[in-house]
Amino acid sequence: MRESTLQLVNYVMIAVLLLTVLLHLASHGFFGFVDYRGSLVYSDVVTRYRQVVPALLLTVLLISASFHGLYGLRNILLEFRSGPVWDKAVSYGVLAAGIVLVGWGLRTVALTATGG
Amino acid sequence: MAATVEAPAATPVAASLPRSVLLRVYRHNPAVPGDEPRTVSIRVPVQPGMTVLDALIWAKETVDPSLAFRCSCRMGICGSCGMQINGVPKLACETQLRELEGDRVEVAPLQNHPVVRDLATDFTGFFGKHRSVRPHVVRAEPEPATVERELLQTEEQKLAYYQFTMCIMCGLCNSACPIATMDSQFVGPQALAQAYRFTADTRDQGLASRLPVLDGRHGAWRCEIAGSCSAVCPKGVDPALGIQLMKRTLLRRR
Amino acid sequence: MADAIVSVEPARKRRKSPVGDQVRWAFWRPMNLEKLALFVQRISGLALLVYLFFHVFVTSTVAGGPSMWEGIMATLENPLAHFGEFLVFVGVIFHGVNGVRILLLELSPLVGTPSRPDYPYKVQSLGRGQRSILYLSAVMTALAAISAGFLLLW
Repeated sequence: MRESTLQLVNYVMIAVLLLTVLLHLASHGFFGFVDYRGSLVYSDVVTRYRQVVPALLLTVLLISASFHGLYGLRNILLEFRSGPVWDKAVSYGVLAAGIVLVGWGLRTVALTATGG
Repeated sequence: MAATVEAPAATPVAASLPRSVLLRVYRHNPAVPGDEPRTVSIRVPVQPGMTVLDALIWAKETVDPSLAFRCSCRMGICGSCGMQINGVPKLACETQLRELEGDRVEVAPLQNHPVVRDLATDFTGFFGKHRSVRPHVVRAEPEPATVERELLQTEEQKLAYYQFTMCIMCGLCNSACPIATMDSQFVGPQALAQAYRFTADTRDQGLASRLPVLDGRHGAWRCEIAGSCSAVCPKGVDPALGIQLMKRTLLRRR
Repeated sequence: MADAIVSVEPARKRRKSPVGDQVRWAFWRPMNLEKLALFVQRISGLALLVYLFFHVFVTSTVAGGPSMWEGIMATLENPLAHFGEFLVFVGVIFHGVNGVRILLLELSPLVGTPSRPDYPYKVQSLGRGQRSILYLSAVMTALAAISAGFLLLW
């Protein structure tokens, strides 16, 4: 895969992440308007997972943050050693970590939304 | 009556110009077994207008003829005398002693380049990275047997890449770049800026042949805009600008 | 004229290590502000990535029922955890605003346009526009630290 393809995906993820992370912080009171500790009460949290828009926001936030963070980690790790073996190992290792992270988060959303 | 002409006032020697500086030079000859890297301190008498290169030449002529360094033009156009001066990659011929702070001058070989001897470093890798981006006008088809006309360019088309032609391949940018320090496979700001110089040239049709290197894992996208390359470039090439324009070209002409 | 030689001493040996090299290049000269910003961007990015793993794991307890959720919330109701959250918020603000600056440099004319390199050279990529955004990110980080300090640590 060409680097410019990965970079284009990263740019899209950055745009999405900027929006969703600000909304996420706002919904937990970091910019005022909402009580921080109140937003962490179990019933409120579960309600958010069971509403379409907030659950979608969390899912999109998870995917974009995971991609952006792991893409950055991959780029830093690529510097440490030279050679196609290391390049491939880093890329696939990071991909695996991403699948685990996103998978675990999606599991949380699915279980909570369906009344786990 | 002839008017008296006053003699011009003598140019005042800067009060800050020391009578001598302590030149601390890195010495090492890897070809000699058992030769350990060392720093030799030499007291060099200072003249107004003296550059670091002048100090090195004085040391070589007067103190130790075995001191090894590269130089040629003495005027910042050949790119031979790049070295770390007080920790910053600079051209020795363009660095005045009076512009350096204090009366100690630390001179060391360029970072990220293997040392051949003392201050002379191996540029094989540097030139190899430059060659890997095909730094010449590449035409799509072989030239016809008879050339009808020159390839014409307007002034605007020339200005789109002109500043990047000023590169003298001194290697200071590759030394200053933090990514090049960490990643030995990164092509480096010099090669990337030259790749842009040719890609932006309207006479060139060879971007596709450069893509494997430029759009690869250690190509243009590994640049993270630290800006150190442009901070040290002695010719105003601004390689960081060239690299970001190269990135935009890679996205636009996928 | 060997008496001009004042001293000979062993040169400083630099041991190569990946983490050490990353820290070293950040503080090697030339010290330009943009290189320092890149270093802080990397540190904050890596720290936020570690936090992301931790955060996804912690919030997954909501699927285990109220007792699990309240259990982990009680564990995290301590000054060290709140200081951690404070650092996360401060890190997000710096990483985001500086990231926008990098985005603009890569994709927009903020980085400059090629011109005749007449002496004294104008280094456009290190221009005032992007420098202002860098200062803005520092100011916003400070403001974020103050507001998060009140919210989390007061």
